[in-house]
Amino acid sequence: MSTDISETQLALRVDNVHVGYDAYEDSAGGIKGLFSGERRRTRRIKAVRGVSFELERGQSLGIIGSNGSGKSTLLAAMTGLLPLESGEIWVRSRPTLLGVGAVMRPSLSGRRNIIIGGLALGLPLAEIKSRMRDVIAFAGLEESIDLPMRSYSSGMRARLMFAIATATTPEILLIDEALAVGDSEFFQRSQRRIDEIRATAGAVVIVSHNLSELERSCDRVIWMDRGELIDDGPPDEVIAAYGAKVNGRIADEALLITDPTAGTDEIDVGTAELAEELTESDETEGAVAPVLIRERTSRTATLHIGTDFTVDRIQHYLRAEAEAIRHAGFSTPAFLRRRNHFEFVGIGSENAASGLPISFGGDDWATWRDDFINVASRQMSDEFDWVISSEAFATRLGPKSIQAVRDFLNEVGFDRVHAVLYLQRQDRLAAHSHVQALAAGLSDPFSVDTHLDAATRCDWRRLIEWWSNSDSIDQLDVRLFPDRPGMPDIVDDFCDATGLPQPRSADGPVAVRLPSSEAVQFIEKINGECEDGESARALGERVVLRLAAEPGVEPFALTAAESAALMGRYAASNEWALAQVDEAIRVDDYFSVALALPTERTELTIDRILALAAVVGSGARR
Amino acid sequence: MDVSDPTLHLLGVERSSSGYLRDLWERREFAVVVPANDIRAQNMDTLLGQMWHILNPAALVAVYWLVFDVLLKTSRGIDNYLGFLVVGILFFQLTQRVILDGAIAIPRNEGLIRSIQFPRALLPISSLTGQTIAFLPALLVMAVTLCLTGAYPTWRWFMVIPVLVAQALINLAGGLVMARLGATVRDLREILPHLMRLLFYVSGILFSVERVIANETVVSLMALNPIYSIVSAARWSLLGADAGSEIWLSLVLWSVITPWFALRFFRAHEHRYGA
Repeated sequence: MSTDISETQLALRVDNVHVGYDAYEDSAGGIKGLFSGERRRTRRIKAVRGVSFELERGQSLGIIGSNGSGKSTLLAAMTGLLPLESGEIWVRSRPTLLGVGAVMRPSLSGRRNIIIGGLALGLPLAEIKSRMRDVIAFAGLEESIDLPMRSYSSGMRARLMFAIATATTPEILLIDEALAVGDSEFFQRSQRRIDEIRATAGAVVIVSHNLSELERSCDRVIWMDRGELIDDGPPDEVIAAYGAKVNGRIADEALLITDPTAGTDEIDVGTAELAEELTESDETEGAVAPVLIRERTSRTATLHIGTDFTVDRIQHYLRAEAEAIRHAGFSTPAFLRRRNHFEFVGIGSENAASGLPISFGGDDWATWRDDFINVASRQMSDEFDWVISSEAFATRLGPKSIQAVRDFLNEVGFDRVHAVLYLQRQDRLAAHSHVQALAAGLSDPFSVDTHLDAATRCDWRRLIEWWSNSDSIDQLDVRLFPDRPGMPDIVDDFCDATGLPQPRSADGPVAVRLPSSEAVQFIEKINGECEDGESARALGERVVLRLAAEPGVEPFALTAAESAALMGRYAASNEWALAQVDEAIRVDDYFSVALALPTERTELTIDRILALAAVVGSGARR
Repeated sequence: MDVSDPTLHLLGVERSSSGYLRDLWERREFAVVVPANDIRAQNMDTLLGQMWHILNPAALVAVYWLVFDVLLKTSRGIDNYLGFLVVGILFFQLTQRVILDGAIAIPRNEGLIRSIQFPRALLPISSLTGQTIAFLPALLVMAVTLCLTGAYPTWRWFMVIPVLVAQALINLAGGLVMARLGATVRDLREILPHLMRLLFYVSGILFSVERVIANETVVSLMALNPIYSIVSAARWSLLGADAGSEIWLSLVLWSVITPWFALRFFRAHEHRYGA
C-alpha cells in the first residue's frame, strides 16, 4: 500500500468530515434573560455532514450544489479556519483560500494593497516586493496601480485579488466564486494560471455556480446537498445529474410570469419560455438540463426592489423565518430558495448571527457597493435572483442612485436589470398608498414605510403604470406565487385591474387557485399529523418520494404538490416562530394562515396525501 | 485508507506555544506594515493629511496650555504643571488606545479571520504596533513642549526608551485580554470607555498623588496600578520627578509576567474567534 504511487501523489484528503457551527437564537435576552438565569440559547447548525474525498496533485476539483449545501463551509474547513466536529483533513501544505479581499483597504493604492494582501497570506515582504511587477502585470493594472482601491471596478479588484493569491504558486488553491466577476479576457488568463498551478503539481478546488466554468476548468466535480456529498465524478456527468435535480425548481419558479410593461396578454419571455423548453426536455431526455441551467444563469440580474418592505419588517420576518427553518431542521438558504421570494437579503451584520447566507447593505452608496462586490466575488450566485434591500437602498437612494446601481450591475456583467415588485404581501396596501403619494408628488420612490397605515385596496393598474413609466427600470416583472396562502384573491385582483389574462404555466393554463387551496389542505393535514418540525419534515419527504414514484403525476404537478408538502413542513414551525415576532409587526398572512389551521390531530395516511396530490396533478395538466 | 501518508499532515492540530510564537514571528511584517498603512490611510482624505499626526497632539497641548496656564493660572503645586499634564495624558492615551483598539480587534477583522488562517494574536498585536507607531509624533510634540516649558533634555531622557518597552509589554497584555473579552463579551464596548475614564482619574494624570494622599504607604501601594507606574516613570525620566523603587519594581513585574498570562488567556479561545 505504501508503495502505491497514487497514494503519495495526494494533495488533500478529506475524511468523513462533519462541520457545524452555533448561531445565536434571536430570543429575548437582555435584562429578563439575565435575571431568569437563562443563557442566550444557541442552535447548532450542521453545515457539512460526513463528506469524504481525495484530491490528487495536479487535479482540479469543482464543487457544486445549491446555496446552503455546505460548499463554502467545506472550503473554509479545508483552510483550517473552522474546527471540525469530527473527521480529518490531511493536506500536503496549508491551502491558500482566494479571499484576501477581506484585508484590502479601499482608501489605499493597489500597490499598497498588494503588500497588505501578500502579508496577510503569509508571504515575506521582500518576496512580495520582488514579485510586485509580475502581480501588477498579471492583474493588468499597470495604469491604475497607484490609485486608491475604491476607484477600482469590481473586475479590477477581482483581478488584483487573484493575482495576489497566486503570486507564489500555491500547492493547494481554493477558489470560492471568485472568478465570476472578471471579464472573459481575465477569465482566460486566470484559467492559464490555474493550469500552471496544476502543471507544477498544485491542486485547485473551485466552488462555483457557474457550471460551464466548472465544466471547462475542472477534471472532477463533486455535488453537495444539505451538507452531504451526493455525487463525485467527471464534470459532465455530475453536472448533468445536478441539472436534472434542479429542473423541478425552475419549473416551479416559472409558474407565473407576466410582463405588464408589454401591456398585452403575452406571457413573458425569459423564465416562462425557459420553462417551456424545460417541459420539452423532460419529454425527451434529462441530459438537456445543464444547457437550460446555463440559460438560466445567463447574466440577468433581477433587482428586487421591495417597495412593500421596510427594513424592520424584513429583519423581523427573516429572523422568524430563519428560526422557523431551523426549527424544522432545514438550512436557511435552501428554504429561501424554495420560497422563491427571498433569495438573498442582506441587512447589516445581524445576518451573520442569525445564520442567514450573506450580509450586505451599508449606510451609504460606497459601503453598499463595497459590500456588494465582496458578496458578488465570494458568494453571489447567478443561479438565483437577488433581493437587494438595505435601509439605505430602500429608503434613501433616489433615481440617480438607482441608475448607479444599474451601471454597477452592468459593470459586474449583468446585462439587464429588472425591478421586481412582490405582490403577495399584505403590505401591498402600503405600496398602493405610496404609489398614490408618488403620483401626487408627495413622496420619493423608496419611502414606503410612511404609508403603512393607509387601508385602501391596491390599484394595480396605477401601480404598474407608474413603474413602467419610471425611467429607472427597464422591465417590471410581477411575480405571483400560487403556492402561497391567500394568493388566489390577489391574482384575481391583479388580473382584473390590469386586464391581463390569468397567469398560465408553461404547459398550458393552470388554475392558480388549485395548488394554493390544495397547499392549505396539505398544511392542515400535515399539521394535524405532526407536532414538530422534524416529524413534519420526515412525512413531507416520504410524500415527495412517493409522489416521484407515482406514474400519473407529472413533474410539474409534483413540484406544486411538493411545495405544498413543504409548506406543511414549515407550518408546524411557524407558530413557534411567530412567537418570536413583535406583536406590532405581526401582519403577514403567511403566519396567520399557519395559525388558523386546526391543531387537533386527524387521520392522515400516505394514500390520502397521494390522492390529494393526484388532484393537484390533474389540475396542473388541465 | 492509508492515513499514514508521510507527505500529508493533519489540519487543525493545535499549535504548541513555541509553534504559535514562531508563526507570530513569521508574520511580524504584517504587524508593522498593515497598521502603518492604516495610520496612513486615516488622514488621507483630509486637507493637511499626515500633518495631523503632529497637529493632533500639538492641539491637545495647546488646549491644556490655554486652560491651565492662561485661563486658570493653576499649577496645583507642581513645577511645570503643563509638562506634568502633557506627559501624563499622552502616555495614558497610548495605553488607552491600545486597550480600546484591542477590544475591537477581533470583531473588526472578522472578514479576515474567516478567510485566512493565521495566529489571531496578530490582530491585537497589530493594534499595539499601530498605536505605538502613531505615538511617535506625539513623543516629538512632548519633547518640544518640555523644552518650551523649561524642562531641557538630560541623560535621563534616554530612560524613556525602557519605560516605553515596559509600557508596550503591559499594553500587549492589556490588548490581548481586551481582544478576547471584546470578542466574547460584546457589552464590553459600552462599559470600557467608562472604565478607562475611571483609570484616568486613579492614575494621577491630573494631579500629583503625593499631594493628595498623605499616607506614604498608600502612595506606595499606588504602584500596583501599572498605568500609574508607567506615568510616574515617564515623568521621572522626562521631567526629573521622583519615582520610588516600588515604581520600577512594578514596571518590571507587570511587563514580564502579564504578557504570558494574557497570551494564554487569548489563545484559549483561538478557534472561536470569528465564528
